[in-house]
Amino acid sequence: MRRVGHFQRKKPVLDSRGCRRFSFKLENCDEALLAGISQWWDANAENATAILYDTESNPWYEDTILAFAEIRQLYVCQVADFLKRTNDPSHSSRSRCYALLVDVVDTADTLLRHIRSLNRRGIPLCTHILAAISDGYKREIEGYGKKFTVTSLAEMKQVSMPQGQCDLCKLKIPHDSDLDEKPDQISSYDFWWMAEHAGWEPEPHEEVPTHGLRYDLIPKFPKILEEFGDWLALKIERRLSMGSRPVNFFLLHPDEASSNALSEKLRLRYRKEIVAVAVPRQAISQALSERSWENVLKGYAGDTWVKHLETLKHTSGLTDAIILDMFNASGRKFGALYLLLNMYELKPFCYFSFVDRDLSTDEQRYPIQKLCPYEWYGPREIMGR
Amino acid sequence: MNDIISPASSCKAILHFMNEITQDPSAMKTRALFQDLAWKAQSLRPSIRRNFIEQGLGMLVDRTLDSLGCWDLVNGIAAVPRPPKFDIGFVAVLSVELKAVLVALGGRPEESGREDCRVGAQRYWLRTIRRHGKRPLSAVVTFVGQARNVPCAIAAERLLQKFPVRSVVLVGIAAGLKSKVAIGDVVCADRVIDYEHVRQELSMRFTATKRRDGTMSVKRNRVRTERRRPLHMNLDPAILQDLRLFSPATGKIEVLCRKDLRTLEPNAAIPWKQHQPMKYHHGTIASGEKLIADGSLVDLRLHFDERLRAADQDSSGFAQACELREPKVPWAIFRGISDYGDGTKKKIISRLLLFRRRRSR
Repeated sequence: MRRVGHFQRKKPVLDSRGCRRFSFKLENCDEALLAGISQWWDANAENATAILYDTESNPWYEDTILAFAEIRQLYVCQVADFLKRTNDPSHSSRSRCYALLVDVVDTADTLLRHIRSLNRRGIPLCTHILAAISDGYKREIEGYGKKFTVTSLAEMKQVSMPQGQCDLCKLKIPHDSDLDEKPDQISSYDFWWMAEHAGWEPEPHEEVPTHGLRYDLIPKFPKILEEFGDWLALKIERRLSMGSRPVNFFLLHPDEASSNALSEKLRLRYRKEIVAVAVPRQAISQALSERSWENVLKGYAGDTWVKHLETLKHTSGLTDAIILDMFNASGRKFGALYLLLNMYELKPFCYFSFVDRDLSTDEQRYPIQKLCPYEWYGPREIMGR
Repeated sequence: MNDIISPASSCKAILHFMNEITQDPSAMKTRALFQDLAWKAQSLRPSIRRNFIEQGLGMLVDRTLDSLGCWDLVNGIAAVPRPPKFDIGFVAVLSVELKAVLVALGGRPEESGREDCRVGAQRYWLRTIRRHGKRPLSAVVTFVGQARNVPCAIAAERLLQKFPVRSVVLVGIAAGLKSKVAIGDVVCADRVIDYEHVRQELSMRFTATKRRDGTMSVKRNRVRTERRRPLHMNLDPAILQDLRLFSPATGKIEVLCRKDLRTLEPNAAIPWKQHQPMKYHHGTIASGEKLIADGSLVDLRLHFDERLRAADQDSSGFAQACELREPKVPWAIFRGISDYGDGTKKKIISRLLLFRRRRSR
């Protein structure tokens, strides 16, 4: 997972501190990581019999490494602890060959520092190094007369800002924690940064309701979700975990590219343990014009989403719904979905839209709790209003 | 969700992105960002909000003009350069006092006829005060044209609206309390009392008279009474401390005054206090609509404030204009004593009583 924010480099890089735009998080992927480490070990570990690791910014990765070492009966130690121990002359550390496993390799300065420290103490090192995340699948680095090959399990690029050139520092935006994700809103800087990063487009025709005017330019939400969807899903999950929340719930959302992507990311976050029902946009528009779902449902009888709703109606203990949407422009889509849930006697729990442009707090229009990670005022112009 | 992110921080970030946009031929991106900015700025203090909105609107207007093909107007309408922040603003009441201020700031009396800037009827003179070993101070001077609180408040408000000044000073003359100050002294207000606020009431008054037969009769009369409700305005504590710590070198100031007075009236015989040196006082200034010339200053002192030293017709309006501004503008008042408010006002040139005051920061 790539978290967007303002992260500080804890270790000096090239004798100066700086900032990072991303924090990479390895979470809920233990099995995949374990398989990746095993595969790499068999192909590259040569004569290595011990593991030295550094997982300072990703403590979750540590468990996987320890589990691997346990399975393979290998000596394992954190680099920092190991260096402290080797100061003790009685320590028999030079008898083994060590493989280095690290969480993230960006500029490779930290890695080179480790290599230098180990080299000074005469610790034999394997020339292959495994990084969980790096900006390239394989990269070569030279350190103290030796060439090392860094293999990564996942490829992700970091955006670094040297000290004094970081816009976020200039704007006095405080640093975020690598370890903790706050369940708060997305900051304006992060939102507009993602929008600029993903690019802009006119609102897709198929997503424009018949009753309203189209937005000429909006950020490319599907691309934002593609790149940062996991992080956004984490934010939504954290938010939903606050206060009272139904134990079991399902997602109801319009069948649109961005809403589908958001729903999929959220389902992944919940390990696919939640049901998602996607209602076609056309059906929503029809229901809005007829102000009723009765006729509309007759037309869609037999469709998967109708069957899903019927099943959910008869499922005991699973009655709460979260109405999910990428973009709330006028609240009409919500109104239609809310009505649909009432038709099936399903209880809506909250309305979650990624971006709220309506910002209305009218209880008649929004009878349930409305949550959104980013508020950006600009309601859709309604025809004939 | 929740409000951990401060609106000011959000506005700064949005403005940053508005600045950064390089390609926005239809100004739509700028408009989208401006919508967000306007919403986020809603909960900010009016002055801060206005600042953010002005900056955003400037960019939006420029880019909209550009998108409409009016590129020649870009930087002409929207990007009106913001007036610089002046260190100090001077408000003089009468034109003679204005001349004295201009001379005290290193100018010539003739300059009073050549203002640097004029907005409607209000004229402004922009000056720089040079100081040894310190950065020069930028100053803007204006004058009211007539005594009384309301015109003074209007002039001060116009000055503050047009020029963002860090602090503002009212200079002029006042009637002094004879027992405490002397003509030619300077009173610096640490408090202003608007003494004329009253509540008019009808109350019963009983008067007993003795009849011829020796019995008493009581008459009940309705009489109009006034209950005083003075308005107090205290100086900003930081300014007060500065002024308390300020001890003018009397001799030096007199030399400067002589020099300035010669510039003002080269041929006039200047009256000067030979035996009693000019003194600098702190105290309360009473301000109302009355020109006191009946010696009632003593009564005002007894009624309102033991520390009362002078009375005028402008300080209350001036202080209120500064106090009620959002945000408040620090103010100070310096009054030269021209008479004792007892009808024996001598023909003393009011300019004589102004002395060079350079606010040390």
